[in-house]
Amino acid sequence: MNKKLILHLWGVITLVVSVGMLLPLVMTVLTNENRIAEFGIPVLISIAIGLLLTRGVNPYKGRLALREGMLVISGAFIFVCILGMLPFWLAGFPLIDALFESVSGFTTTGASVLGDLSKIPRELLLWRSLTQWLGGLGIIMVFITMVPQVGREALQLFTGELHGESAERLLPRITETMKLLAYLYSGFTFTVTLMFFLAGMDFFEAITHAMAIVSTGGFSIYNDGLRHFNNNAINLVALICMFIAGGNHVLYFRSCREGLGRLFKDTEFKAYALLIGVFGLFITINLYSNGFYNLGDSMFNSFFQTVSIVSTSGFAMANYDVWPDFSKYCLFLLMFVGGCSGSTVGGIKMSRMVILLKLTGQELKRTIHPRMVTTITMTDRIVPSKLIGGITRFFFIYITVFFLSATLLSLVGDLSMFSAAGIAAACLASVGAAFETVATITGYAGLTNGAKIVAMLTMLLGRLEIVTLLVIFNPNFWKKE
Amino acid sequence: MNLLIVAYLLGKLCMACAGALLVPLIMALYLGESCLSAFVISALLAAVISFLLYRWGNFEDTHITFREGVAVVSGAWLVISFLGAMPYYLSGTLDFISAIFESISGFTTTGATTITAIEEVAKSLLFWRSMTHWMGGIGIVVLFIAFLPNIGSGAVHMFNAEVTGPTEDRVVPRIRATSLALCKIYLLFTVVETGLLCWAGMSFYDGINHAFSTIATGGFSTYDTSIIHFNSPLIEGIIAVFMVLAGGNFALYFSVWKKGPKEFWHDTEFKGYIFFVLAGTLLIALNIFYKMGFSVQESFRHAFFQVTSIISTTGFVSNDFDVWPAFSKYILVLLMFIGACAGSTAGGIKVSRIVILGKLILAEIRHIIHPSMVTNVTMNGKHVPDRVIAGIGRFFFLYMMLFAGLTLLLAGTGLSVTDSIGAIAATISSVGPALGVAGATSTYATISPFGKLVICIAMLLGRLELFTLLVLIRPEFWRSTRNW
Repeated sequence: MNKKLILHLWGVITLVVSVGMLLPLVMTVLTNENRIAEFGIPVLISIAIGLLLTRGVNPYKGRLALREGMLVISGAFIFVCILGMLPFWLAGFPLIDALFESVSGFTTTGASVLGDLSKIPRELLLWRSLTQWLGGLGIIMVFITMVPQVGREALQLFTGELHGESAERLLPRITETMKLLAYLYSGFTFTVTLMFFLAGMDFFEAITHAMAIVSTGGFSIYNDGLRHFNNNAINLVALICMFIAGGNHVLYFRSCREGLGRLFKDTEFKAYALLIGVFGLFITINLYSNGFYNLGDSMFNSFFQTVSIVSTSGFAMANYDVWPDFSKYCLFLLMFVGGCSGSTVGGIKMSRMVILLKLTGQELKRTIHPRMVTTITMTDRIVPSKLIGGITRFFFIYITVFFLSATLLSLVGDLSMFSAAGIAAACLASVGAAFETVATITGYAGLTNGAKIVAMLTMLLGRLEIVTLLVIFNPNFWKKE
Repeated sequence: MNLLIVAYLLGKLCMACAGALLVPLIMALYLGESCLSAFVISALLAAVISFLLYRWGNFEDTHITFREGVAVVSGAWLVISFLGAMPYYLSGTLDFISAIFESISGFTTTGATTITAIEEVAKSLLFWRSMTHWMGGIGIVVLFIAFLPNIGSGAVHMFNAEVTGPTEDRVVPRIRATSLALCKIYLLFTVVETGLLCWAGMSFYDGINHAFSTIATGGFSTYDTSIIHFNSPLIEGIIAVFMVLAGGNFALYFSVWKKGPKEFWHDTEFKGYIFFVLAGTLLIALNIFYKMGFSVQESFRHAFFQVTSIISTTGFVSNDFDVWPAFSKYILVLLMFIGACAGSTAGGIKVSRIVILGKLILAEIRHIIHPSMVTNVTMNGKHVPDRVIAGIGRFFFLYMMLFAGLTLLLAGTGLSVTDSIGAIAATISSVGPALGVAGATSTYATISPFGKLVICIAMLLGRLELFTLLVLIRPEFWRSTRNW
């Protein structure tokens, strides 16, 4: 194993996190001097570790094998979560709660255990939103940087990402691409902040919420989230921006160059829009016919919640836990689907679902015509059969992990069946908000410590696409070659 | 499509159905029950339909392709569900939809019931109800194991590969022999269990009814409270053991018969099945011991009975598991999805598929760690072909999608999420009693007619292993064969 390169990469990531932490540190220095230690110590620790690893370890050039790549990502994720926990811990929260908040942030889940948010200092709230934003940025970066390192085929195999080809074409200019994607992400954040500001938020509210939306996280600085504002302009901005954040960022990048037509040629994006349209209508009809809202409000509420769940953000503009069971079940199913690949969403992802559905249609066709040669295409490109095998395996393992997590949660958390299923699905897909006790993201504070640990593991598994984490916990992984 | 062959075979099936209806008819005559006329009319109806189909049909051109196979199987379920429902409907016990529901639930060996006061129903009618289980079970064993291993894709197909490979004329005599042997085993189990149940204190009538239900992994009982009624550990023990047996692969018993009991331990699926039973029992026993205040003995007794009942997809109830803690209920739901072995009358995804999928994940992890390693998935020491593995992956996806979709439809009728999930999970894997509104001690009677239809579809889809029924909805199926 190329230990030096791995350590070096971890060092780089640590430095990035320490730079992120500087922002709340500066804010503390300006406003609340007696709490400087909360951020001062973690910043010093991460800078020290980061410099030690980047300066001290000299990486010789070389490619990373797939398993090494997995170690880099999983290790960095866990390490960053531990660093990110420090400010919460130093502020006096219990260790498990601090770690939960950090994991929930970096995985862009948005489940919160801090309790009453109005009592928490602002710099801590800012750091909370920042963890999501950095987590989202990291996810997008990993997706691009992993490709040249481990080879397209291998990456596709375990992530099912389809856009490797477009990334490969950009390969010679990889640094440039990374920069452009980071600019796109930052520019998007800036735009959302501006729009929120114009819609009536103050600057701090606008930037924290914008970071949560762009990273499809879901943290808010208020206990009742977006409901606090009770402002439809803000809700509308959030709705549109969540929809955009759930789409493929590489696709946006290409659409910028090739024109908007490219967007609607993309099979995955079309399916994404269609799914939201269909389920939005289902829920609208259900809400309207049950007399919950008038037609316009039914539509607004249903589409807001659909987009929020599909993009795995987890914001709410109404208490959907009181909605009819049909609507709740729709939302529950949508948690499994998630948004497009190449974005910060969790879940099974649209591209995989579309391929699996096409596969089923193909199977039925082949049952009738046993000798028929059939292929599956996405955006006019044939999907290799190796990749299809990987996707069906992923589906199985996703459902298995969901079931196991829900079963464990019902045991250690003393939860009802639906409540446990909701938490498992929401954490696995990095949505955050679920049903019953955790219908608002702050509801997680009421869970038992055991349930918090299970939920945390579920979030990590979901974010690292399960297989990655399972691989590094396999004893064979650590054996000498 | 050669409709004449289809008609001929369906005619034969109706004839068998008319013959079967004679049994409860004679019983009703002997006991002087008022539902006699219902049986007479049903039997006549079956005979008339049989006669018409028979006259129209023709079996001269004996070439049966896949399409005729699908048409026969689907047509058979349609006809038989209808004829089987007639006695309930004509005797005024149930309304039409519920009667169809009861009949489908019987023949698919599900055991979901809409009858609320079972003790008040005529004995001959209840006997017919158990008979539908038994006949459905034997039909499945013979049909799926011996004749149509191709139609259920994946596991069923796999374990009896020798039947699918070679040409037709070489196989036909072997199919005869296999199906005859399977019928013998089925019959033997039924007789032995009836005897044991009578010995343990049941009346002969109750004994034979419950034996029919158990061996077919159905779950209809002659009492509202199912096995709770007897409150006897001995009876529960006997039924539990036979439920485990009924959930095993009948073709495996056939080879045990021939080659000795060592075969059990060469069979990966059987080992996996026993593992699931033991693990489930242990987890639930511990959970209900701590949370429900049962004694150790009681905990294991109820846990073992309920686990065997659910994993074999029978659905007998020895304790109201609806009030058990959520963890136990989750284990039961998981077992519903897993189901028992391929080649039995059980429903669900089947242990062999789950084992293969599990091994596949391990193989993938090994492959990522050692990229140049050749990783194989084996069952019973034999390499599982990639084609079969791909089929199983697709099957799993489709199972989950249909489960989610049907649950959505059921939730649309106004049922709560947990109730809908429970009802569909229990019926698509042919278990029967679900959680919540259709739970252990209640029935499906309160569900709306549309909901009942959705559940009927779930039962049929689960029983026919999804693809057979779904093929029917593709337009290609109905087009002419000339272009093939």
